[in-house]
Amino acid sequence: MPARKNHNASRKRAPARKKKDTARKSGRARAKTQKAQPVPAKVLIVNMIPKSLSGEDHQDSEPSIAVNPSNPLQIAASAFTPDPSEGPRAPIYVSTDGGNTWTLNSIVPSTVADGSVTGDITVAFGTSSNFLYAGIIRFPFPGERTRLNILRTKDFQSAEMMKVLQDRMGKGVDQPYIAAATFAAGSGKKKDRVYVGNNDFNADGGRTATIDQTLNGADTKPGFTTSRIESRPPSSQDGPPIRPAIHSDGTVYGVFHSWRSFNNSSGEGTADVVVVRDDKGGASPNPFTDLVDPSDHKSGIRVVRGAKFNFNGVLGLQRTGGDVGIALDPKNSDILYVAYNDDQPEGVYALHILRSTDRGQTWSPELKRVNNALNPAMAINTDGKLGLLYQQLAGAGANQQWVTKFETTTNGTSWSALTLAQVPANRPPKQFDPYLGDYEHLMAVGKDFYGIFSANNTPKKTNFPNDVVYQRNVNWETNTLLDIDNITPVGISIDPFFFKVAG
Amino acid sequence: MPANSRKTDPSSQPTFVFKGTVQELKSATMKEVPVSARTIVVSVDQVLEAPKNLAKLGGHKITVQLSGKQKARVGQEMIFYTQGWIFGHSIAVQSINEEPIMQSKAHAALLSRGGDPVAHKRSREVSERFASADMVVSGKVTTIRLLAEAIKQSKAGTTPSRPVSEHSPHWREAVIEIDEVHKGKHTKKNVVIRFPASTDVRWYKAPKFEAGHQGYFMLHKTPIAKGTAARDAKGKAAKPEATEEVYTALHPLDFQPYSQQGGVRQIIEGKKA
Repeated sequence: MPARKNHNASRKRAPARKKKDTARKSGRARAKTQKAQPVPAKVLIVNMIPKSLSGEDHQDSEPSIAVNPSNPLQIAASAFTPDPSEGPRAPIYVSTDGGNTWTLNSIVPSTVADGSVTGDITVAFGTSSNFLYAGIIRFPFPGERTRLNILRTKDFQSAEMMKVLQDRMGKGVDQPYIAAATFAAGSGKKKDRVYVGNNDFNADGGRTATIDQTLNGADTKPGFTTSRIESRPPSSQDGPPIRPAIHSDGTVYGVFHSWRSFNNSSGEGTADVVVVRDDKGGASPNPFTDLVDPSDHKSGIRVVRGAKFNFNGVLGLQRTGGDVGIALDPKNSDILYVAYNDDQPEGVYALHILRSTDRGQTWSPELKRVNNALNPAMAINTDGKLGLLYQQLAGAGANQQWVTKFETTTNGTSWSALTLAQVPANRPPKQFDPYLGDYEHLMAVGKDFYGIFSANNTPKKTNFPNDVVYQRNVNWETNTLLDIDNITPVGISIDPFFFKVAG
Repeated sequence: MPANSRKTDPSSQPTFVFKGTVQELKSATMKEVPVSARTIVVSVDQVLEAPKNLAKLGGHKITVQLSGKQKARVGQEMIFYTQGWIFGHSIAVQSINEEPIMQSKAHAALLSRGGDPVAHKRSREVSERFASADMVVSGKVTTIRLLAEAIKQSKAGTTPSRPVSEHSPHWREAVIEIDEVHKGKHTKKNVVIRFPASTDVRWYKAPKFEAGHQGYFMLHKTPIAKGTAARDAKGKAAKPEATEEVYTALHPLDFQPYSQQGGVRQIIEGKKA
C-alpha cells in the first residue's frame, strides 16, 4: 500500500507523547504527574477490520474467538463477515501476534450465491494439537432445513479450505457452539475431544438439546456421535443455546434452555435452565447423565425453573429469547458458573450469575444480576478468577448506549469492572438480525482473558474508555472512518473487537 | 438457495479482475502470506471487475498467487482473474487464470470499456441469475399473503407445528400479475412467488415484496418442506418431510424495479433486438 497520512490511534505512540511532555517538567512536578496518572490498564482492545478493508460497512455481528492454548499468539475468530472478494468461501479472522493485528483468511465453505458468508459459526482450538475446529450453519440450505457442518484445519493460515468432518441437514439445526480440548489423562489422553452443542430438530419428542461429539477430533476420519441431553419432554422443543464446557480431567458439562411452555403466536414461554454432566468426557454408555436431579430422578439439574422468555422479544435493536452461558474452573472441575437471562416485570431483560462448587449438584443464590444485559460469556483463569463479558443497554431515548463490560471476581461477591465500549445503541441502523449477535465469547488461557464482542465502530475515544487500536483507516479528530484512500469517509457499521485482559 | 442456482459452478468464477504489472517474483506484500514460487507482487494498474471492497485498489501493490498456468516476469503486464485469499495490511489473491496483455480484440475491449468495476461485476451476476432462472417475468405484485399452512396454524392454536428457530424464513406468498413472460413457459395471468419475510442473517438480502411492486422477476424453482406434518401428536418426527417445488426470487438481484435501468432490462431488450 502506498504511504498515506495515518490518522489511526496508536497505543504505542500515545505513551511516547506523554513521555515527551513529562520530560519537560521539573523533577518534583514530574513525580507529581506520575503519581496522578492512573495505573495503566492491562487491557488491549483492537478493532479487527484490517486496513485493506477500510471501506467495509457490513454488520459483523455474533463473534466467537479461539486462542490456541499451546501458542497464545495464534488466535482465530469468527463473525457474520462475508468474504471481501465475494468468493465461494467465508473468512475467519486470524492473528499470529496475540491479537495485536488481524487478517481475514477465507477458508470456510460457503457459496457466492448465498453471500460468501456462513450462518452461525463458532471456533475452538484443541489444547495441544494446534488443530482449529469450527461449528457452522452452512449455506446453502433449502427452506428452513439448516445444515450443520463441523470443520477442522491443521493450519488456519493456509489457503486450503477447512475439512468437513460432519455434514448434517435433515430437519435442521440451530446455534452450533463448539468446544474442544486435548485431554491430559485417561483413555482419551492426548486426543482432541470436540463437542458441539446444537439445537437439533431431528430429535424425537422435541428433545432437541443436543451435543455432537468426537473422542478423537484429530483422527483422519473422526466419528461423531449425537447425544440428546434433554431428559424431560419439553413443550415443543428446547431453546437454541446449548453450551458445552470441558475440563482436562475428562469432565464435560452442558447447559441449555429447556422449554417448558411456548406460545407460538406471542413468542412467550417459560424455560428451565438445565445443567448436565459427563464424568468420562462423553464416553459413558449414557452420555451426560451423571448429574441427576433428586426431585424427579432425571438427568440434568434444573438450576432455574420457569424462567420467562420471549422468542420475539428485543432489547434495543438486538433480539432476545433466553441466553445461557457456562464456565468451568480449569484447576477444579467441581467449580462452575452458569449465566442465564429471563424476562422480568416492566420489560426488563435480566442477566443472572450462579455458582456451584459440588459438580453442579447444588447452586448458590444469585451472585450477580444485571438488568437489560445480554450475551453473557464467561471463563475462569488458572487463579480461579471468573471473567464475565456482557452487553448492557443503558440510558434512554437518543442517548441510549450499548455498554460492553468485562467484570471479574474471585469470590462471587466482590466484582471489578472494566468498560470496554460504550456506543450509541441506535446507530448504525440494523442490517439484519442479530444486531450484535446471539452470543459473544470469552476464554481464558493461563491467567489471561481473551474475548470478542461486536459494537458500533465510530472512532471516538470516549466510546472506548480503556483505549482502542484501529487497523482500518480513521480520523480521530473528526471521528470518521476513512476508506482505503485515507480520504473518503465511510459510514459507521458494526465491527468485531478483540480484547485481552492480563490476569 | 435454489437448486438451479448451482447449474453453473460459481466457485470457479473470478470475482476480482484487474490489469497489473509484475513487480517482484517469489515475494509478498504481507508477512502473513506464505511465500512460494507462485506468489508475486503486482501493482494494480486498472481494476476491471470487482466487489465494492476491492474496487479502489488501483495504484496499490498486492500479492498474487499465480494459477500455475503461466510464468511471470518482472515488468510484465497481465490481466489477472482472481478470487480473494488473505486480507490484512495489504491483500493477497489467488489467480484462477492470468493472461499476458496481448494485441487482441478481447483484451482491447476489456481494457478500454471503462466504467465502474463494481457495476461490471454486477452486470455479469445479473446475466448469471438470468441464465439460471427457470422463468423470468415482468409484472406487478397484487397480493401478499400468509401461507395456507400458517393460517391453519394460527386458527388451530399456539403450539408450533414446525421447529422454532431464529433462522425460520417466515414464508409469505406474493401474487404477481404478469405483464410478459421473458423466459420459460407460463400460460396463466398470475404466478405465485414464495419469499421470506424474515430479517435474519440467512434471509435479509432476499427481496421483500409488497403489493404494488412492479418490475422484472427472475424466478427459480426451489424445493421447500411441505405441510404441517413435521411432528405427530407426541411431537415425534415420524416420517421424512415431503417437499414441494415453488418459485422463489431469493437473490437480491432476482427482482429489478421497472424504474431501474440496465441489468435484466438490458438483457431482455438485447434479446428482443
